[in-house]
Amino acid sequence: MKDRSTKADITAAVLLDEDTLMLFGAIDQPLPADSVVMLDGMIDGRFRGGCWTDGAGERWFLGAIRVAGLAHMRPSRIEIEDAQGKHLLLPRLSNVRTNPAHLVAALREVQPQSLDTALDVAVTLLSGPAMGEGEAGEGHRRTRLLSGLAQEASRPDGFAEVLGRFRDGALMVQGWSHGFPAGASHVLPPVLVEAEEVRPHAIAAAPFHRPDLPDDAAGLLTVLEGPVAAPDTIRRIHFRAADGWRHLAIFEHRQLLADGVASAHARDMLGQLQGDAPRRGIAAAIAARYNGVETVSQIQAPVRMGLDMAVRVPGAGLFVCGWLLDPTQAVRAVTVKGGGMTARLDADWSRLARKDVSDAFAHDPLFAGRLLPGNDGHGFTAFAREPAGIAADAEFHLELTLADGIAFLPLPCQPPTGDSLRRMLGAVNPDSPSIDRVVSTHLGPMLRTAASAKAAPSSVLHPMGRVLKTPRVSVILPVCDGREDVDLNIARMANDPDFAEAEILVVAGAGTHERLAGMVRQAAGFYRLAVGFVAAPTAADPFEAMAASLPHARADRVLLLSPSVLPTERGWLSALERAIRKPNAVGSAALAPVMVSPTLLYEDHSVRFAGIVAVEGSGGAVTYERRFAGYPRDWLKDQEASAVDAASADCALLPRELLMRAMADGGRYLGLEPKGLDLCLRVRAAGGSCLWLPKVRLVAVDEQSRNARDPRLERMSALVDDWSFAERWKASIAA
Amino acid sequence: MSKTKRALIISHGHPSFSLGGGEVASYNLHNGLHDLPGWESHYLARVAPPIAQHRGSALMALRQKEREVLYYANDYDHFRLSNRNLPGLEKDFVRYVRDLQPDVVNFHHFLGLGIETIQAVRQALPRVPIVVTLHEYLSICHHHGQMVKTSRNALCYRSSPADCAGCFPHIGEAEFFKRELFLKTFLEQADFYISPSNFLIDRYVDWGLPREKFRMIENGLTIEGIAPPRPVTRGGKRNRFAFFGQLTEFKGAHLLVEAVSRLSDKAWGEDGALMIFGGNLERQPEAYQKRFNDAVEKAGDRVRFYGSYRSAELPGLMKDVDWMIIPSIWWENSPVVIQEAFLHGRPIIASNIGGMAEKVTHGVDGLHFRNGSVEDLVDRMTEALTTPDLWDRLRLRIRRPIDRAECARQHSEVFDALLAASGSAPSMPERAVAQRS
Repeated sequence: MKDRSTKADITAAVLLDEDTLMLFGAIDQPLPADSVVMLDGMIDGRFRGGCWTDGAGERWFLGAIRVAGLAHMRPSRIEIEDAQGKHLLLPRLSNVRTNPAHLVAALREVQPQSLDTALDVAVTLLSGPAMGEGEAGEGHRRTRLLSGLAQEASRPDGFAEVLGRFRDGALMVQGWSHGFPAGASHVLPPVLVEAEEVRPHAIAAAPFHRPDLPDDAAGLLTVLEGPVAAPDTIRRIHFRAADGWRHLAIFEHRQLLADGVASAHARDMLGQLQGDAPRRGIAAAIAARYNGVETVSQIQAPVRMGLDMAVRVPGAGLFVCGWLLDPTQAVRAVTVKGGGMTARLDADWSRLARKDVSDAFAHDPLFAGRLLPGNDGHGFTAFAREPAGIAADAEFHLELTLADGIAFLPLPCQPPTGDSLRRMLGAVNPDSPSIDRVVSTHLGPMLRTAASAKAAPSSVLHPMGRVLKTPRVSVILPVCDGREDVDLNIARMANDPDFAEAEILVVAGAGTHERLAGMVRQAAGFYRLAVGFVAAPTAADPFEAMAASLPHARADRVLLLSPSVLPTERGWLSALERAIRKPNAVGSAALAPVMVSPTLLYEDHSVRFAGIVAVEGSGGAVTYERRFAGYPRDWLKDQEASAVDAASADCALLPRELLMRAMADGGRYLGLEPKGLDLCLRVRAAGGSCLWLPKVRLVAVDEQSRNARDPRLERMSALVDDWSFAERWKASIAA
Repeated sequence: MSKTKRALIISHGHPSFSLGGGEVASYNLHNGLHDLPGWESHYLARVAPPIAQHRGSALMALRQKEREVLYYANDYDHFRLSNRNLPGLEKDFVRYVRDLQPDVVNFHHFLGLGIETIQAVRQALPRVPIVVTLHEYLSICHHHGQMVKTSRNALCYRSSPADCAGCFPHIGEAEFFKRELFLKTFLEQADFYISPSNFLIDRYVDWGLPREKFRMIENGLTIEGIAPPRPVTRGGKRNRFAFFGQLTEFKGAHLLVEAVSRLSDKAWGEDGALMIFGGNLERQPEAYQKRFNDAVEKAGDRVRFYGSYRSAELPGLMKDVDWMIIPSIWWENSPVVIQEAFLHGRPIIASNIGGMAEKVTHGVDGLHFRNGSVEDLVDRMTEALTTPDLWDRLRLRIRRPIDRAECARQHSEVFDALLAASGSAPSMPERAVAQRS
């Protein structure tokens, strides 16, 4: 590779920001339009250049160099690679300025006849991502350079009279001029909108006849691609006419259209516009703008789309479920947009059979002969991650890109309520091959974010029955399944002397039966028990109910007791208390506060709970297993009290203070099983230990669910919980 | 004293909930084996609705005896005999097998459990011998394992994808080929096969399993008393015939009733009776119910119905019976009623096919009649009714069937041989219970 020294004269050099340097000068050979630059043979950067030849045949140029941290360098050697791979060596820089006015003044002085061209070049050089965004704000140097050049080069020509913004930030301008160009956006040079900043925008434009204007002037309608500055801040709109730069001034009595009106206004004007190509350009520009209105049903091609549900968890993501009937594969992309976010949906969505859609369109003339029998995979479920910072009330829509246009579908998103999230989970196919990624990328974070936004359940205590000054233990009996009574539980406790000095907190969670409180009051009186009825109507499960009741527990020790746990013998509470008092009995639990659980058996004498232990598998993966689950109770014959990795939240005695610490940051799970395990692991993380007593046995029954079960939802919930659990504890739960 | 060896007997049902031949045979083996010195037996049986599963585990005790556990499985593909809930299998079935650490595992059917249970055991306990006891032909035949054609109940002699598709045209040859391959994938993992009849062994060998890995061992009975011969007055007839079993078309009770109606009054005698112990006619197709009821009407008061029975009642019921008749129109394997009849010294009149022909020797301990032929059955019953001393001669030559202890002893020979061959004396458990990490 051979370097060539150029005969160049740098007339002005201005730093436009920390990374961008603009050069103006004369040179003896062409410069590449877009290339790489090397400073002192080491540092790479971007170079963009533009040249013109003046009347005297001399070649002038504007060039922009972009190198990170350029403002702090003093390069002695600037090399630019030309199209043939040769390096052009520019002369050493001196007198680098930071005021763009210097460069404008140099241009005006040296090349006054070429200011239009210089502005063309400057707009080109500073457009596009390669040159960065520059500094923000009105005073930034790019704006000052462009506005300075525009003021020198641009002449007034007409007025902007009506301005209206589209939803996506594009701008419609109606007015008049003598020389405003006409055509579609890909054939026209950009305009410069001068507001707080000066920014180039692609346009489509078309003239129309105005009887009030002289013959050499015409009305104009243009659509500027957004986001354009707010209409009321716009001072001028510079455009490139055939003979140079001109600008529309803003008419003193200009009309600013209300939001959402621009599209209709422009569409109304279409009939008056002159020239086929410009009119088509404007029509395409309008069609490409979302206007809050569904346009899929107007597509000429056999394409239709419907939505079943959309859920948004602000800050986390969106879920969309619906169908797209597109038998000719006319749709090239499906994109969700809104709040500044753009995400392609169809690149990674799950399709599912929707025969109902095939059936519904079977006799639609648009689809006649195009629907193949058995080809019913029209349904879809899709997710989109949401970047931070999007407004909670942002509006979203779907955009269908077709070969010859774009169509829209408003996307009304449901807020993340318990019901909407359950519906979302139920709509996802747990057998999808990408389900692991869907859970880890979308569902898991969405549900976690939604859960963290949920308020802690509130509660009100209603004392019933006997009053106890200093209860020996606070029994927490959460009732969240809508059962009508807990009479058996209360009767069993009333007939066990261990509970004579216990306070019993019956916690009524969501869906409480209307007769429960009355029944508890009656039983408290009849059995002479000290009962606190804790109303916690927003507690959705036993764990939320426990949390809601904890502030009302007065004893130092708390007994967590599910209403499904039924003691068949007396004295078991004392046995648990003895174990708590003598932690030394099991080595590893020495001195640590203890959460102790008895054995729980099903009514058929099979083991329901006999401790949960962490089992290390091959490769070091840890799984928490319920020991002996389902085995006949004879398996426990030779077992002794032992430390376990988790006790059972269905029946456990532990210090209140330990429980409060463990529940301070409750795990967020959908199922009760992982919640219980998570609680125990938090107990241990808070310094406690878990203990299991094989000889103390209670019956815990599986009760009929009062709600209809949805196996698919349960599978999905388990998948999400597995992910959440693995995230938190780097372990899994035995399936 | 030698170390106790631990066997796990796996059955598709527990006799407490499902009183089929395979269930009873496997349970008798379990108890017989446990009674053998040096052996400890555990029993795992499948349960299904109407029993409900516990939420936390598919395993349950259901208040059965010690060393017995029930496994709930209800996600089952009847065509492939496949368990569709493989994660569930891993979670509970495999966990139990691992924790138990048996030295030998003996499957008695996998109906409802899924044939993948064989693989699950093989994976969990690679060195433990697996023995599969085959009680019928379900792996070979999709038609309820009967090896009887779906049209006109013709006997099937050998299955093939084309033959099976002939019975089930809507399924097709390819699916039957895949079914066979699927089942063999798992059956071939077994170390040994046991069957209570040679006839069944032949069918499975024809199908492709290796003959050298088979042994015939009769099912063992649990004996609770022997019924004496029915007292007959001098010159009286041995004219009490009994049918024990379900009133399904395959069991052929309709043939028997038709034959009874055709017997001459002279041969039948005044106090003759056909005693039917069995039920479930109401669950049969309507056409069969009608055929059966028409035959009963024609036979008049020669036929008496006693309803279904429990095995413990058998000695009492046998007291009034002279002959047992097994008129099945399918092959049968080793029907337990044959052993029961022989135990109580009752000669048998049976179809001349399959397991019945194997277990009942014509002219020695019973009589054969041509399968499905009412006429031939009439002739044999007439012969039984009119040949003096025939009953006594046949009865004298009946060999007493083996009891559960002998059955278990013969199984233990197989198990011991397999353990010796694998070189693994009872292995130390990899993990007796879940261990703390």
